[in-house]
Amino acid sequence: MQRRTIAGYMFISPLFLLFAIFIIYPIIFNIYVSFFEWNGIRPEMNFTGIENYINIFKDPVMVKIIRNFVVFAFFTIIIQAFLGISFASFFIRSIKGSDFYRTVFYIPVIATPAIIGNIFSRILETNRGQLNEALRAIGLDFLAMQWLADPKYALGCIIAINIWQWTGYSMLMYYANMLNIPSDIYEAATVDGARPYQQFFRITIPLLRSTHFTLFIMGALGSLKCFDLPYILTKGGPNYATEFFPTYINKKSFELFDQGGASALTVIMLVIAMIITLAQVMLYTRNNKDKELAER
Amino acid sequence: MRISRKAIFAAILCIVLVFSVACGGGSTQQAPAANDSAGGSTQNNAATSESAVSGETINIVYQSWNPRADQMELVAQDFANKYPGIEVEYIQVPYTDHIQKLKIDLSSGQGPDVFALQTGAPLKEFRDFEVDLAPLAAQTWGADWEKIFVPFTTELIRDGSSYYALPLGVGYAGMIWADLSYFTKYNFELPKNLTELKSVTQALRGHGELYPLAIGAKDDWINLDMWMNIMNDINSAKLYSAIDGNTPFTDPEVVESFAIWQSLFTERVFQDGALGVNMYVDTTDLFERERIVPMITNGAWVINSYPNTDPEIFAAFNDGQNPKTVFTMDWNNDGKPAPVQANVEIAVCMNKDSNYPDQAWEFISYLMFGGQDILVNEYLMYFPSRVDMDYTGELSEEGKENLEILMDWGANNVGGYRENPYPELKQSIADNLKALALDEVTPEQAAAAVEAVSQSSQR
Repeated sequence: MQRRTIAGYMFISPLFLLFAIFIIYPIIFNIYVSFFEWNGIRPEMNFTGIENYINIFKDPVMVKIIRNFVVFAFFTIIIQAFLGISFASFFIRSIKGSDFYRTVFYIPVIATPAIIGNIFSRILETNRGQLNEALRAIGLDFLAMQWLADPKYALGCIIAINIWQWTGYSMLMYYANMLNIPSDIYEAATVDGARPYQQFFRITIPLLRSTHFTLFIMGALGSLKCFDLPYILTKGGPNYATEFFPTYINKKSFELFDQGGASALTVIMLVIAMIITLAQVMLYTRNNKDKELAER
Repeated sequence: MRISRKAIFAAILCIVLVFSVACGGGSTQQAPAANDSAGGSTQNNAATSESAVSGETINIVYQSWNPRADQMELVAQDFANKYPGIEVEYIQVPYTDHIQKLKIDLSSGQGPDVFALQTGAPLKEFRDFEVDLAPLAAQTWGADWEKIFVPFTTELIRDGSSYYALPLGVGYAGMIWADLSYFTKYNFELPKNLTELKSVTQALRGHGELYPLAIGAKDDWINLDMWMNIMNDINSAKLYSAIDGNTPFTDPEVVESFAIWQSLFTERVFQDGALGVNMYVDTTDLFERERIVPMITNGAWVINSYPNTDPEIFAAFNDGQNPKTVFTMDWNNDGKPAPVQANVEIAVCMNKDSNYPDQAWEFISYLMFGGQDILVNEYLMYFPSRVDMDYTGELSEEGKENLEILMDWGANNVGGYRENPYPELKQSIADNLKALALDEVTPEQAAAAVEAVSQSSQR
């Protein structure tokens, strides 16, 4: 028994070693750095205790970052889920060309955010961007806005582009899980006189609960890590209107040479990510208990 | 259950494999081959001398954000001809990425042998990886070597009696470039002061021009350049005194500069949506390629569009259809145009961990002379940082005229340095310039916010 245990540990030790080197050590080092004043280059660091954390909570930009994260997460998760489930329900039917459309909808997911950002920065340009040109062409000049230059619209634009990019992923997740719902449930409901919309709301949506949870958690974590699009489209501006945790960490680390502050911000981001993950674990556990109850 | 020897052997093998993979990437003991491009290899100097004696080619790495790789080819080739046995591998990285890459590469002992920085904060922050070049310069060029360079360039770099970089090229910022074809077409005069600028840009808008005065205000650097130019016009001494913490930013003249800056956005002097676009290349392409911009804010480096190797840019500056000129604005309507800000374009540093310090110094000293001759005379990348050097390249008549204007400013109308050496203060000014542009704060509020940061900034 003891030899078995030793052998078991030996088998998992390579993975554990990799995990320790590439995951645990950077996290611990980052927490360590967050208590120092350090430019990220010099060999020596000055211990400052929790000063970096105090500075972060005093920083007015933090309010904007947290607001942007919450707004971004809320709208992207809800709208992406709504569009994803709508398209999935549409394509799950045997419609001519549905395979083709499903693929087309998924293409933005595999596109590089840098390219997407560059394309949309041209589309949304104020004076000669295609969106404003189109609006002017159909007489809707009053709707032609300074999309990326006005704080009122910039975040909305990034949310819209993110939804455009990731709706295909939500659709595929819902689509795959819809295929797992036994058809006899729908047949029984039909026999009982349930209309299609009743079947959708009473059968499809509840049975896709695990997909909702997965998309919620992934959406929340994705919002927390949001970097590429705001960095390319607005550089976090104008005036921090689209600043997110990673863009601000990048600025602190590489433009302001404040590695200690950047690390403290990373730790805060990590704590938020852990809270979200904890919520995920709790939701899954609850979900599994429901399943157990259903199986009895 | 009994565990077989085979299983235990497999597990041990896995551990060894993981160790070798995990440790292999971090080795600092790579011995470079003859043409090894690993700039951060840590082979010792003894080995260097040995390889030099044995006739092997030594490869050194130079990393910078400019010139372009194709322009550097000529320099590298010329260097290879003059210094057989040393090859230069040039890595060109956009400025922001260059700083990120340097930070990581130098800390991990994998940095380039020679690297470029901007003067001010970056040069100071990377100090632990820079070699004091003063003794080498004195040994190579004599005790009064500082006289080789334009005086302000050495002032910007000097740290006590040490020089952790040498100046490659000079630049000037804070000016406006104009496409004169628009002024001919609409029969306008070039604006000389703020009042005229506002009037001309409104008139251009009246003619349907979307970019009366273009700026890519998403980039902080151009906003800072233009605001510093406004402040230089109002009171140069006060600008640099405020940056050094000796004059409060709430001073009425600083507040006036913020008010002028704000009016350029609120009174639509700049194009609509200016805060949503970069200078390079969103905005510059409109001027340098598409020719749809009557005026653009930018620096003296635009002059290198005249000998540019890109046919589209070359044509836009040389075919005579869109003649260009460069001017500075009298921002405060006092009858005197603003002086420009000057900077060292590239501060060339040597990595203290370089395995080939002798060869790296050969390259740096070459860059200051032969290399600079090529970059200035072939491509007009910069203005010379050496006092003995004149531009000898060929330019069109219009290019020569604009070059003369810029050289004249460089000699007679420099307000001060372009660089702000305090990163937090610089960021605060940049943030408040954007807040002003959005009309979210008043000039007084912006001044108070910057002053608060100025007081807490370490100098």
